Amino acid sequence: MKKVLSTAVAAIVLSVAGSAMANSNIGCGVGTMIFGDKDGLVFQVLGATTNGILGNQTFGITSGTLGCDKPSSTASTQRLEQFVASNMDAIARDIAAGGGETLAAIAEMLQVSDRVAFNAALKANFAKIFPSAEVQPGQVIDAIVSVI
Amino acid sequence: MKLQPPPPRRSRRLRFLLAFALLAAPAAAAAPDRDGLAAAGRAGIASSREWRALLHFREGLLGAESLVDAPRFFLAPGGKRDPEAELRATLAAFLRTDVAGEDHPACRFPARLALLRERLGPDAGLPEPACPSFDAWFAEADPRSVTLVFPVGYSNSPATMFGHTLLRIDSGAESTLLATAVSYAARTDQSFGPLFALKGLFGLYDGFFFVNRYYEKITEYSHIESRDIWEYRLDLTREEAARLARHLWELRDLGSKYYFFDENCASNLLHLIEVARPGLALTAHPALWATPVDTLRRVLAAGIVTGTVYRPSRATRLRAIAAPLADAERALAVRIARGEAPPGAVETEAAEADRARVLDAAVELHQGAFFAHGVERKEYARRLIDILGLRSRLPAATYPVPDPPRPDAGHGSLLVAGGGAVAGGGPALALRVRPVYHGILDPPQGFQEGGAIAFGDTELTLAAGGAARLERFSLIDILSLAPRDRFERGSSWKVAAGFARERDGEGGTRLPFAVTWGAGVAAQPLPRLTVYALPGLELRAGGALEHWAAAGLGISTGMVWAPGVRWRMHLEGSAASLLAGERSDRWRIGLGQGLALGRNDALELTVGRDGTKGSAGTRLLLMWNRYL
Repeated sequence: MKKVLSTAVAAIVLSVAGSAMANSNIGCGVGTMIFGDKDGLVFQVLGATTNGILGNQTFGITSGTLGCDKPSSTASTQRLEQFVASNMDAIARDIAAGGGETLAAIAEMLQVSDRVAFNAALKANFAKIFPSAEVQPGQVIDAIVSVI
Repeated sequence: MKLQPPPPRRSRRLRFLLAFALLAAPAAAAAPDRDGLAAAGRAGIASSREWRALLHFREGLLGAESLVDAPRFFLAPGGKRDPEAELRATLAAFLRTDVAGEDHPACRFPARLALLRERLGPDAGLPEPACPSFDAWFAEADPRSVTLVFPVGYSNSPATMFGHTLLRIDSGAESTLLATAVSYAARTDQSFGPLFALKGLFGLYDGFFFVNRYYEKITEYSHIESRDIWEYRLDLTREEAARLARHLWELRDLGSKYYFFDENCASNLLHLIEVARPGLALTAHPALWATPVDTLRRVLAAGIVTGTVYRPSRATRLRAIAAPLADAERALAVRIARGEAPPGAVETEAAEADRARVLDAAVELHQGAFFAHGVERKEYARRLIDILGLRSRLPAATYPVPDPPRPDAGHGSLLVAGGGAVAGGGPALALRVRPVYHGILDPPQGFQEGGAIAFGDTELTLAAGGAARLERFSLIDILSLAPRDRFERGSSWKVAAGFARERDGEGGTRLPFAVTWGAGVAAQPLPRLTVYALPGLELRAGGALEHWAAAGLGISTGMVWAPGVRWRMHLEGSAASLLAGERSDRWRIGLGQGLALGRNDALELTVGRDGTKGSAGTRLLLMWNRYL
């Protein structure tokens, strides 16, 4: 019964997720999984006998509501919004450090060719892009676009 | 640049030509009707590698059948066991006109459709449906090439030493962060417990293919779990990558029983690769078990890996960042991460050249604490922005990490050993088998330092007079050493359960069932030298005991030293004081040495003395280890 139920739930959830074809956590913006209590002794003794999806938890600066309330116009904009919403921490780190993979991804999505200038401009304007811990992904994108 | 020479392709081409010749004639002549299609179908497609790969059809112990368990994967009632019936049913289903849109079999099985169109030609009358969901997903995924991703274990968690494998479907984008990540995992509906492991062992969970963005996997493995990741780029062509993606859609939300040993996260991905390029025969030889690294080695042996990329974990990055820092600066990074000092403290307490490093180290520590649930989210965010704000005003920096040995470069997971033992009763032949996985004396390249995990470790001796004796049968044996330093504050621990021979206090030996558990500390006073002390509990059970069971306290201490790249030593001492059920004290001291002779060969010399109640004995063991 449990198997039928979980399969049914999975089917419903996945069909809702549609083209994103993600697991049940794609939701709005951020979704990521933390594998439960993997430090427990029981886990260690009996081993990682499954690579189980035990739970999910949003994390980071904001929970990323972008993409739900106001559906975006194009697939590429939606891709950028989802990326920023899901990677706020890493983006903040890369901007402060002056470069990194998340910046390269954003530059590619914004079709920016001069990456050196892009990284430098963002780094110099960190405080404008991340004015507080409550900044929203949409505001981050707007700020990035305004400084390049 | 390929890492292995590719396998010869002549026979594959010949087979394809033959199959095509068989099909081409009837297909060209047939009108698009059911009978014509059916005949052509039976001719060669049903037994072709391509079709069988799509069905995950494999010779098994109980006959040939598909490894997919979900009934919805099969269009014929007996499709799981009969590829030809499944083919007939698929062709019939594709020609249906009573269903439309997404529910039409042609939209549910795009890989099968593509194969049949390829084999039967455009005049076969196969549908060309509009499948909005699939088309949108496929366009977004934009499959161009495929990468096998291998997160290795993380520190202080030997159970993760087996690693994990997932696939990444790379698009035309330069950045791989948005690529499609494919992972096979069990859907576990309950909170974790011992049942979790047992269900995984016996196929009581269903495994599914989970698909999300690669950046989510990086967050999960590299940042949260702090695992090094290796990316092995495969030489699959654009068409092959497309084939894999189409087949992935066919497996969407269809479960198969998840078996930890042989139908696990790693082995299921091999089916996907085989669909992309049938003829690779990655799943042809079923093994009793397949660890992720074993499947990785199979992929490498197939010669399809063109290069690797190493992605250091949070812990590895932290070590690289903090390497040149003075101890006071490391302590400062810890205080800033904890909020005990403001980020501005670097201006007064750190050398100018090190300020960015201290803050970058503080960020890694701070995030680590957050992921370990040590900091509440709002406070975490606020402090992160504070630290990064100051950091952004310091010069840019990168901290390159040189590639460590790859996980596939390690010794084989199965150990067989033979040699000799000398003890009180005279010399004897010694044999040992350890099905999985890695011991503290084994050549360390490609494994997590300080971790050891073994299941089913068995040792026998054969004395001169012909008497065979079981010295040890260990169910599990885990040792996890996490030396403490400025950044690492975890506990080291060990657990062992199994039958182990020990002195019986009457001049002989006994073989009770013993369980040892200990937790304590480890330190690394010098490079490559680790010392530890693990106090804990001891249990014994069995007929050899007066009251069938006993319990008490114990302690294991030791020193692990690697004087050279190929030479490792483990000096260990343990004592146990049984207090309930039997009163006895027992102790053991031993020095083990391992000398690596090659990647898969080593010599192991162990000298040990153990005793109880005034009776003691010494044993010397010299073994040749062969890893397979």
